[in-house]
This record gives sequence, structure tokens and C-alpha cells, in this order.
Amino acid sequence: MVSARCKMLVKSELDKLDVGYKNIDLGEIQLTNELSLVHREALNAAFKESGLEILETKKSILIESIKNVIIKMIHYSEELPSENYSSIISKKLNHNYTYLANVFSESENLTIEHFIISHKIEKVKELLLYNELNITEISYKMHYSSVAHLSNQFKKVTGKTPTYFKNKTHRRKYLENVN
Amino acid sequence: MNEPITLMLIDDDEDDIKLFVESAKEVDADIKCITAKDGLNGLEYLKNELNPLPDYIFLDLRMPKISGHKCIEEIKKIKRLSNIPVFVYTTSTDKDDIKSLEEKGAVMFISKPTDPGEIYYLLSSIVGEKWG
Repeated sequence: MVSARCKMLVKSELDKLDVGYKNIDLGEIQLTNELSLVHREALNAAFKESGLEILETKKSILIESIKNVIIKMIHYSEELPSENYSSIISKKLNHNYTYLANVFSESENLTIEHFIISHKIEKVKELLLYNELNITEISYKMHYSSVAHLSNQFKKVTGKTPTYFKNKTHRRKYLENVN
Repeated sequence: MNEPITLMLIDDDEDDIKLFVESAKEVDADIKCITAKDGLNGLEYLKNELNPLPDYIFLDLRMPKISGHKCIEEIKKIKRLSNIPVFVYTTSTDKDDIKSLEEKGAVMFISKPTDPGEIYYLLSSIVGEKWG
């Protein structure tokens, strides 16, 4: 559950089944009462149709939490934080970063850094399409060390240069499909 | 925009050095790489005040002559070097190593990726962030 669209979908399914909840956030639902087996199965079936699932193990919850911290940091913050990403992820999840990085790469077959870059590029695509900032301003806003750093990363991930992307309007990915 | 970045890798594995330098150049061709083949060689470079200082140091742990542990202790003792972020870059995932090196001032403990392609993503993420 990584976007506002997913949150709305989850809310709608909970309402349909009349399951009470206190709060719905990215990747996390606080229910009023424990979920009955019937409701759990019904929700799982409904979520599965939309590519969502209820996570059961501590490790899968931790990985989802790492992804949500990164997504909030990149897509739902006005500015990227001045603190480096490893400190932020480590503080938010109260675990040593090396432990989190190892758990993530073992399970996802890619590093946290790879996941971060994929999302940063998705954000860069959005900024390019808004057409309010030039590439130099975008590279500064998104904490790149130079325009070349941004351009090379963009090409590595998308196979296209930022200029080519901007001139040929491309469809952006849903956040849950970015990896 | 900022000055070109300089990375320093202290590592006795020639293949790892080659992959690191190639990945750094892929991040940005203007990035400068300084490499040292062991801890002694790395410290000699860093202690010579005539040499330009790197912006980031990547340090292997298991090396001949001077280990990564000793190397970081020495780097942190010298005032002009002490603020350079040191990343431990190793195949070790030993929890005691991680704890001890973080206490000695390492900003991040990086497990050398099994997939060489991931080195690009590591370096490309690190460059541009504020460390230390």
C-alpha cells in the first residue's frame, strides 16, 4: 500500500465489510477490533485482485516499512531531508541500517539504494513533466551532486536522457510498480 | 553546482578496485578516484599534506599490513582527516565488526554486493547526500 489510491481502495474494502478502523496510513491499518477469520479471508481476496496483500511475518512488515519510509521521504515530502537516507531509515524504524539493508537485499534481490534511486527517478520524471524547474534546479532539489550525476542515473534507470523524456511525454509508473 | 567529487578506496582486491572505479565513472565521469592497495598505502597518502583530500573514504576491512579497523582509528586521530566520512566496504557481515566500526566513526557499513551491478546504485546514492 504505497499510494493515496491504495489507501482509498483499502478504505473502500473495509467499509464494504463493515470492519472498523482507527487509522489507515501507507502500509499500515489500525483496526478497532481484531480481524475475524471470515473478514481476513474476504479482505485478502479483495486485496489480491488489486495486487495488495495482508502481510503476516515480521520480516515482510519490516521490508514494507522500509519501502514506506523511502516513498514518504521522496514522494510525499516538500523537500528531501537534509539528513542522509540511512540515518532517516534507521531512526524511523529503530534498527541498525546495516541490518535493515541486509534484510532488504536478501528478500528483494536488490539493495535499498537501488530502490531509492528507482523512486528518485520517478520523482524526477514528475518534476520534468510539471515543467516548472529546469534540469539544474531539479538536480539541486533532488540532492544530486551534479547535472551529469542526475542525467547518468536517469539514463541508467529509464534508458533515456531527461531531455528526451521531457520532449516525448511518457506515462509514469504507479508507485507500487516502481522497483 | 558543486566541485567534482573525489572518492578514495582502500582495498587490497584489484578486481574490487576496478569495479569500484568503473562504477564511480558511470555515476559521473568527473568523479575522481584515488585508490590504495592496503591500509599502510592509504594512510601514507592521507597523512601527506601535499595530497588533495578525498570527499569520501571507502575502506575494506581485511587487508595486509594495516587492517581496516586500525586504519579508521588512525584516520579519526588526525584532525584534518577526521571529518571525512568513512564507509566500511567489505564482505564481512559480522555484527561485532559493525558495532566496533560504527563506534570508531564509520558512517555506514556496506556489504560488498554479490551483484557487481549494484555497486553503481550504492555509489550513486551516497554521492550527493550529507554524511558525517
